[in-house]
Amino acid sequence: MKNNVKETFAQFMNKDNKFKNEPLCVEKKVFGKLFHASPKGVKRREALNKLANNRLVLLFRRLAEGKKPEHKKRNSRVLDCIFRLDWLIFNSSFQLPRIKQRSLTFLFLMFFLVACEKQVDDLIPLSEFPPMTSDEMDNSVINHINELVAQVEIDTKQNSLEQQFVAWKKLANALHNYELYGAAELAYLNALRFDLDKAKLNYQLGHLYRLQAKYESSNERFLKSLKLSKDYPPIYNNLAENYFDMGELEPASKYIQQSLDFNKNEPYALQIYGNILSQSGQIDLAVKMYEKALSQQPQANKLYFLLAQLYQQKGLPEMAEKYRSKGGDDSVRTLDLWLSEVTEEIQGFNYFVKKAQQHFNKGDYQGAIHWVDKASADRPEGFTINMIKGVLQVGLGNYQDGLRYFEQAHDIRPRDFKVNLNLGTVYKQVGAYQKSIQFYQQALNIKPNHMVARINYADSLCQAGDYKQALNESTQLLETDVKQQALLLGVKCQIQHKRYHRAYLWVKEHIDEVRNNPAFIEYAVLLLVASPIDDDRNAALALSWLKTLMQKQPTNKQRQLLVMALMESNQFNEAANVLKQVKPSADLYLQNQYLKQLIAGRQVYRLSEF
Amino acid sequence: MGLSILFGCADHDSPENIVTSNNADNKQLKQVHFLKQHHDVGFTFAHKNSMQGDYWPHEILGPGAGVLDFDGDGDLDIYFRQGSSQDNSELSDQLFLNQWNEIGQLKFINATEDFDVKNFGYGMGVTFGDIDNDGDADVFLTNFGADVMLENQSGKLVETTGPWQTDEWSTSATFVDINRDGWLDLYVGKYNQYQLGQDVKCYGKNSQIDYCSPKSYPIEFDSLYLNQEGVFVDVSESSGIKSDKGYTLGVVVEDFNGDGWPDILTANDATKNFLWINQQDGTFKNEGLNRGIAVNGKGQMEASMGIGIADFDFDLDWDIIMTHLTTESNTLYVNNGESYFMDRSSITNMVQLSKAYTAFGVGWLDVNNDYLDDLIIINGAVNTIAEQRDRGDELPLKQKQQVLLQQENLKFDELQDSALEFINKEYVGRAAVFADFDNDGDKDFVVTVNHGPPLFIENQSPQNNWIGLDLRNRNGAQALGSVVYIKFNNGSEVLKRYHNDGSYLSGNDPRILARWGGDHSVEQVKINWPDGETSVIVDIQLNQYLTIKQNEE
Repeated sequence: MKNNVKETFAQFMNKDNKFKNEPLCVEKKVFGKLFHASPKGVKRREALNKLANNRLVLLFRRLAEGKKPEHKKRNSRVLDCIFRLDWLIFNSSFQLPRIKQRSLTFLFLMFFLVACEKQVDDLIPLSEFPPMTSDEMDNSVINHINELVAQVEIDTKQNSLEQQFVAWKKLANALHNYELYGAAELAYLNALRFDLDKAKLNYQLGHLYRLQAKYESSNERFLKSLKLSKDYPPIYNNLAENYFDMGELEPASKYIQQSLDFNKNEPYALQIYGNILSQSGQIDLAVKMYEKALSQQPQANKLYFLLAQLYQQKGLPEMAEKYRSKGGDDSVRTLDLWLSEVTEEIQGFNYFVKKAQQHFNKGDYQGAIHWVDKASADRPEGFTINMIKGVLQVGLGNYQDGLRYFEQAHDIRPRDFKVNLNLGTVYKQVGAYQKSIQFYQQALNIKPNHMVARINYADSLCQAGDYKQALNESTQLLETDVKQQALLLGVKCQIQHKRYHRAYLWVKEHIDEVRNNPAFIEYAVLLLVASPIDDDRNAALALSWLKTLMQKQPTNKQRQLLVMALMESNQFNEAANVLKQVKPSADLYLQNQYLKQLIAGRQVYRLSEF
Repeated sequence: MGLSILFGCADHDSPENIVTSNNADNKQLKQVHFLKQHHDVGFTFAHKNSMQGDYWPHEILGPGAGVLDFDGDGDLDIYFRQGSSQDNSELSDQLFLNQWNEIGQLKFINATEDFDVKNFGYGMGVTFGDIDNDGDADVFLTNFGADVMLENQSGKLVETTGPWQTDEWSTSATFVDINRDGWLDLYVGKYNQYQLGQDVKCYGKNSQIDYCSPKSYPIEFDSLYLNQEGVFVDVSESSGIKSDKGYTLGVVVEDFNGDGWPDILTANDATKNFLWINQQDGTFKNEGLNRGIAVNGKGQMEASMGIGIADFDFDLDWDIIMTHLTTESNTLYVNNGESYFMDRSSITNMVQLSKAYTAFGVGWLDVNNDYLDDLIIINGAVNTIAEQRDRGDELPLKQKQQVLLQQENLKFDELQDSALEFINKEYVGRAAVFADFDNDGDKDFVVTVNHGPPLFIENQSPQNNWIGLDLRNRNGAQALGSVVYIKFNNGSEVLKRYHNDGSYLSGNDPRILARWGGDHSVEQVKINWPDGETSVIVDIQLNQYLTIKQNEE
């Protein structure tokens, strides 16, 4: 070991990662205490070296802080005494055996520690909390809250301060999630009394106050958090928003610019800054901020609306119209899993979530997992974490793992639309159609007119064999924005259940509306040539549709369809020629072997025989 | 200045309501107001919403009310909409006749049976307009279910048929002469396609059952009915108003782009607001987004409920306040003078003051005689409040009402007065109907309460200088849609509108009131009539209501 005390201490600290990220630099205080407590002289270094090796220094961190200002001062004085006493013992003329010297110091410190353990008092008792559960809640929620409360009670009686703190923090987070703000506030205040993780707790409490429009209290908490953690942009964002809402644009501007100093391209901060500039009448700058935000977040409808408004204000109606037409309603979406809309009311957590989303959207699953892990470290059992993990696993093709996470999320929030939708989708993917139907139904109970859910539900019904209900659903959807998907689904389902004539009639009825849809055309052709109705016109029609559809590089399926259409037109030689270019297919009625037989036998192709 | 005049010249009731409050800078401000709540005006009525613990969406949105002089005695009577009752007994709408002109006191008597007012369906709103140009206002009732038109036939209300008899959920409605042909057309806001028996179960984040958001059901298009000399035709499609749809709750009509033709502004719940600009050819184009009023200043769609329209900053253009949900704040859209609206909610303190409440009815009203328009905000939640539910409240949606006093720097400060019950006790407030019930030159107001009795608040502002204008068209009916510029001999000018729409589900007193202090007087009154004609009147008598008929000025 080196004689240099600072290096020794640093070595010691490096062994323990807990101190690394501690913004308070408590270890510096401890070190300061160690350094100044001992009398000066050569022996000082030796004494400090020995203490640095002593594991009790870990406990010194907590002691040095203390719970209240008066405790902190008191603790510092006591520590001073202990260190001096230790030095005295070590250097006394009594010449006690080394082991007895250490034991004495140890005894003093243990005595002190026991006394300190009782310093976390003034906790608000659970009996004074507003009711946290009621009979109307879902059992899973009641159980969840009761478990957390029980854990608090157990840890208070039996376990260390750190475990008590964790229990209170978990309870506070859960209550916050469930919008039980009164109880959440008290739980946060209790957690804060443990003097651990204060930056984050103050931030979360600030957010809670903000949700209730208690701006003064919110600002107070955010500022406290800021003092402890200056490099966390969401604090600045929230302060900026608070001051904006309070009409104080100068401090709002100051804080948002500080946020942008961390990342000048952060879209949320850019949008807030744009709002501030717009309010201040600096329209050109506001436009610049919004456009920059939009380049980072092209799906943000709000930004289109804002830009449309501002360009109109600037007297540029063409630009306004350009943005106005791009910012649409989000009632119809793709069939993707709903990760992009996962929101979390605690914005600190949301920062990691959004980073995960960004990586996910780019297809960088590993990057997304990295950010998910960071968020997960904060709230391992949270609803959002399970949702994100579920989506990531599904994205990686691990459907069963994905289902596991979604089911966990469902346990936490059984009435959440997105989790029900995701479960329906993945169960459909793995072929568990009844389960899929069950979850789609739950989702539709919540949002009965959600188009994506409805079309998927219809598909699951079809896959599960409930042909009539599937068609019923599809028929209703013909009057909606998902008409194209509904048409295709209706045709597919009827073919799947060998209702060829009905499918054929369906196609004929709607063909004008779907001419430009390749998938639909393919099905239409299949029906035409497979229809038991002998009609030369069908074959000619099928051929003309195929010609409009087929590009320079026709797909294998399109070639197969061409073979069939040519056969129907009695152009068997040409059909045979095209067949040579067709790769083997898994489709039962498009297998090359069978097609060859048909051509050779010059028979009319009837699908109903299969 | 206003305060010094108040203390120097008051010859009416003394300023009995002076309270102090702390503003953001912790300075003590004296808050004066002239509001008095009456508990004994004779409203023997309580709204029933038919709740049975099923959280039906329609049960929490009403009721509305409206004012009209039904008995022709010169003071305004009030018509209350009723919901239903749990045992499905026929509870009817209620009509109360104002006795002010008879006995000189603010008392009302129930005349429901005398006027044959019945159960006209599950009541939402009410509005008035002369649909047959016979000089008296007819009554249009919006319902959860088929709407009802009651023709006023010499004081008798007779139900008449029309294209409004659909099974749709209507909310606020307004009469507007869209083509300036002298016949009042009708715009009806519609909500969503929920029908009884199609209940969706909705839950809060803590998994407890709660009222659904409107998005749980498909949107319904609004309706526009063209009045063709007394016969109404549905022109919703051809007029273009079916090019967009939103969950409409509030509607006002005004010429927003200054071209002399009436436009229509709708407050839509959870969807963009619409500003239907009249194209002067029977069609409308939605310019809400381009004019800054579709979404708030952060680009967010809000749950818009009520609308208050006034020139609150005296720059001779229309400004708008819209009321919203808890966590959203009410939004103050300030007109920039070029028919473009800017969200000024944060810098006027509106965000701070309103974010914790869900507001419906709203209106501009000077309550402290400083000649600045203050705001009456009627609050009541739409999602269960846990503390109220836990203590067993039958309808745990109660919130306190607000009076926001406009300051000279255009910011607002909330009135605090422990003696004024309606801003301290909590109610499930819905509509606010503004009317000068005692004809003393200031508007009073009635607050409707969901599943409860209404509240009556009198405005006892001192009678300084004021003029009151009741505008009538050539037929003698209310000239709804008129706009008035009042010019004073000190160079100042104020802008007023003559209409009964605004607030929420309400039929208000359309009469124009202008009040001022100081020695200056009215130089002229310029009236822009709904048909495009203009009149200028120079000889205005003060401190009374004048009836001005078009072409007889």
